[in-house]
Amino acid sequence: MIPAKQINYRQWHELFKEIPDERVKNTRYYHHLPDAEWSQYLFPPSTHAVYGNRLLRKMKFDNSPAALRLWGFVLSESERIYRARQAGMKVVAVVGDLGAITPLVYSFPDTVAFYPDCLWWTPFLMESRVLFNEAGQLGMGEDCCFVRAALGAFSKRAYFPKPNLIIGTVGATCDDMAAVMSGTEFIGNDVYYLELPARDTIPGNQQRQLSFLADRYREVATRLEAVTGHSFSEDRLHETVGKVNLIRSLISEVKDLAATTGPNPMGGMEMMNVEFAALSYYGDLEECTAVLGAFRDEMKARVEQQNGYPDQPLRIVWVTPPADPILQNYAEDLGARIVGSEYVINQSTPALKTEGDVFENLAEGQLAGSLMGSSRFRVDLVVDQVRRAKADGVIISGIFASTHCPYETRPIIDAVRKEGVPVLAFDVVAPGKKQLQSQINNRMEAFIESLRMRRSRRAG
Amino acid sequence: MPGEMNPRERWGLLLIDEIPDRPPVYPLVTAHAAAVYGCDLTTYVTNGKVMAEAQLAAQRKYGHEGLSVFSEVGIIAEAMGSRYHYRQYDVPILDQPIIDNHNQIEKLQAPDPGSTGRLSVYLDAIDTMYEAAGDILPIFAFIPCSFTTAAGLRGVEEFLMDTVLAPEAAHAILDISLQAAIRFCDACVLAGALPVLVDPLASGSVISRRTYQEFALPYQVKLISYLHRYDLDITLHVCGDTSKMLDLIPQSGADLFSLDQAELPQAVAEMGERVRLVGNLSPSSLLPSSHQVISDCTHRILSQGIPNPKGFVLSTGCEVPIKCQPEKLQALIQVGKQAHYDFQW
Amino acid sequence: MIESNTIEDWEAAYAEEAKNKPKIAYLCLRVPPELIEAAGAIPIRIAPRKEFDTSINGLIRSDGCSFCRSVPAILETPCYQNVKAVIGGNCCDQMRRLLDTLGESLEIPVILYGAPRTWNADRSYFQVEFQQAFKYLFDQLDLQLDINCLESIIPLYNKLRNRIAELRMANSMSNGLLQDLARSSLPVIEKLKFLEQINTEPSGNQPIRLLLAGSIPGVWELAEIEKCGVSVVADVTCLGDRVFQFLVKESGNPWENLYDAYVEGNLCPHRRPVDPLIDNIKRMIDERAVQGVVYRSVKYCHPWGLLADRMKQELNLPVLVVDDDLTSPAVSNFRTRVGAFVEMLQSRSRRRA
Repeated sequence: MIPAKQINYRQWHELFKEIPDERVKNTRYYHHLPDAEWSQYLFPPSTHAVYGNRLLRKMKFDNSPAALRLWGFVLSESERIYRARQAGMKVVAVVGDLGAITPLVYSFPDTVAFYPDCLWWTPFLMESRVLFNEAGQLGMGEDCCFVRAALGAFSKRAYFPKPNLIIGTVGATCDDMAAVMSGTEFIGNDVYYLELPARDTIPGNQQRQLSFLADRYREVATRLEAVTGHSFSEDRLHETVGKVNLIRSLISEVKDLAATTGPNPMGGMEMMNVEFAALSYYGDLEECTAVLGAFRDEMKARVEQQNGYPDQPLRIVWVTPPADPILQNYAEDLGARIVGSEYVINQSTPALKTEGDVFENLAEGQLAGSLMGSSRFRVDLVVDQVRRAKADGVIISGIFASTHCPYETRPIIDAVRKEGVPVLAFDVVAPGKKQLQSQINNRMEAFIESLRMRRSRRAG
Repeated sequence: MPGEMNPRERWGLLLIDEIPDRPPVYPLVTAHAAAVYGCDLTTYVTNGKVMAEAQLAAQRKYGHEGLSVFSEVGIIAEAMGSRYHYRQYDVPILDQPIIDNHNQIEKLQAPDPGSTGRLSVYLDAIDTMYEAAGDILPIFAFIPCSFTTAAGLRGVEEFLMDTVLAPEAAHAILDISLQAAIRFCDACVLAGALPVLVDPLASGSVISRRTYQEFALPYQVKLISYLHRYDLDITLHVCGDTSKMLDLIPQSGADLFSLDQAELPQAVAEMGERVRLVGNLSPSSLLPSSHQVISDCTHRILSQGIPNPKGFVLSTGCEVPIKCQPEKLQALIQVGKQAHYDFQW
Repeated sequence: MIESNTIEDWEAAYAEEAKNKPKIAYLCLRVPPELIEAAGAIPIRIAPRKEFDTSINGLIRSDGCSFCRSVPAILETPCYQNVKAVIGGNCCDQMRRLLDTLGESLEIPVILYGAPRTWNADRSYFQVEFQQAFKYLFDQLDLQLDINCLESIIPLYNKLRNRIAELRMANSMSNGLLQDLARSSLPVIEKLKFLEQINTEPSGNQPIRLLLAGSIPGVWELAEIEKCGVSVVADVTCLGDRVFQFLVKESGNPWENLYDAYVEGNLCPHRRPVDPLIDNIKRMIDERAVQGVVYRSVKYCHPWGLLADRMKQELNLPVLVVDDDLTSPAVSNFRTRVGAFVEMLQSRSRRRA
């Protein structure tokens, strides 16, 4: 087995030559379109860097073909959504619910979903202010969280095809997203609004919330029928839920493997890509399952053989997904590894029930959402991760001007400290703000150094 | 203005078979950038930072939609040992080819782009441009194909004679030229540029269709196929008259074909379903013609190119002349930017 | 009868009587004070007060909505002493989170109920949520809702709203008084008495007629605007005309009627789509011959703040967008900008004349 290592984009460019041609040729998405010339995606980061993803030149990547496949799959999502439309599939944009409704969307034939919200990392990946500036011209500046990039993308019309349906979730979700949707409407798009009830309101209303949300999903199904021209089928939804659960179980398994007590078997960014697969399966449910399956196999083999990155002894739980992917690389360079995470998408990972009312099962999944109830719920999720992963420290990469971070950060810090675990909290800074970025780096250095000393003291 | 695509976005859509708001406008502004920037050509072709600054200055002035890294087609041959003569007011020309006799061929090696000849000029230029504007502007590195490099290694006439009298030797030179091109392409890609393969010596103005098929095309195919393995979209530029070999161009595998002296409607008919076309206002017309003529020609080219099924880029047929009056280039760009597809989002 | 034109004096006079009643603080336009009054408690709107100490912060980070960040400090001001509970509907996301934060930090019941963020959502769900929340509140405080009392109070509130609307249309009630009434914890009957005895002669028309829009105002912005010699003839902020712009149906089930008026009919900017709010503002602009709009949002108030650009484009009038941080008010900056805006409107008006 090849020793696990994090390598840069130059090294991947060279290493890519060793990957057999057949493998490159046959790693494809949309298997139902076997003749498509465009469906290969196993390419190294240098390819994506040439097309403007400038941060890739600074990042480090795992050296396994399984991780390369994952990166290729993730980075080709935008093209894939365009190809879906070219191939006559229906494209549904889902904003704001973070992964709960997509099983329903994928249960319709020839229909794919994507999250415009996820474009929030495009400015970071491209080291570019283009999308933020665009959003700024439409009235959404720095007093809105990075999700405003999605508005910029809607305005630019060059990051995803015009969706056949835009489902905008409002209610117990962030107001930034609601503002993006409003802006999206204002520039000429129709948004179908989905109401998400606040979870932790008056005692004893859980069943009513469940029924309410299930009814909303029934309405969405009706809307999807109109858009796709296919009738809703409970059997198909059951089948889709089965596939989604497989993805969710792979994610759980991979997360457990990442928390191994042996050497770190995988990079934090690869792990984050895996977790976010649960949102919309990067536009191809079947291939996503295969990508994650191969990834799991690689990690499993590594854990069994104690094959991991050297010199990353410090165990970190990462809270809130960092829009800037380089941050996790930086922590790893300093000797930390990500052994647990709470990326505000708790609703998209627990297995969905397969017995009973299909819509209620979906609703139940959504009602486990990280952000739709009391902060206490999310605090408990974080503490659970900290305990399970036996973390040395917690890093919270906050999102400036989001509507949840100002309220949750303090309680999370307090709860984690109560566990006797040190915490570092900072806000991710927008691309181009080099001085602020270096401050974060300094703080991370000091924090990780303090964890290292703490560990030595304890060992001594 | 909100909603306006930038060049990177426009090209991005074109390359995945989507229709952007309008065709990218990308005249081949190469050494002309030195005139805009106010530097001599020797400095331009020997100093990557200057080349980058000049390209960025020209782009700011004209607003065209891509940066071009190009000195002359001998860049690889020089790095392999041929001697070039540098001129203050024009690009370098071949002074002394490295191969006097065929015994020298086996001594040739693919040069290290980081340390040999002026290859690093390209890399410095690309790196600087990529850092400065790589999120908005695509960067194109013009890399000579094997046939053209081979001519630079052997001397044009001698190499053409080889193709007739010593074809094995010619292929040997072409093989090593291919290795050099691959290595250089890799370096340019890693620096952040998309290779544009140029093969002016493989033009119908220089060689026959048969020679092209036997000595140029196979190496274009190999080089493009190597780059396709990385999923890179490759432009092939062949100067001069290619009208008699248009049907062969798609065999190279090129994703885009930048044509010079060929009729655009013919190119559309021959390859429009498979290849995006880039072209083709005659650069020589940029010197003497009036604004009105340039404008009319550009309109005509647009009307011929826009219907190309696989997509179209408005460009010049070859490099914008160094001494082109800015107003004339601006006339072309202005017309190009007013074009539009019936873009339905 | 008190002879004073200020609500403060009336509240002071009423303070003794109020001592015996529990106070229930509420957020914001989705809560019917009728219900609280009918349960024998005093409804008190959580809104900026003159005395609040802007330096008290800490529960919420500085990039949280500055009104939400101010609420712990606002609740420290004297008029909130003796507050026994806090209630609010799921308004904007930060309001939801604020109530959650208060619930963790205050030792009194803090109750949040779901409320729709879209139009035509499942009415039955939210109505039950609304009703159960108030019942839960009253249970927590051992209060009994007197339905007869509620049925008699609803018309009084309607009367109050009608009267205020009448006075506003006739330009006989200043905007300051309007906001004071919105903040006031006086029982409806006292408010009506107050309105009966104040001078309701139409005020001399100022040449420039403004609409004030945006997030909940602090305690000084209006005065600064009026100092520039303009009339604020329409106010769609969270303490403005919108508080009094609707009526509650008087026959039928009062719970349903209150729900319809306060929750379903709510025109806050967090409802999606936002067109009904914009249409309402446009209507007010026409009805009241508004010449310019001061659009003032508080820092990090997303529903208002991120709507500013759209408003600017939709309203077809000069719009001054200014944002402010309630926890560190930039008074001079505000004064300068409003002054310049008003000058611009004045010169425009002169040119037209």
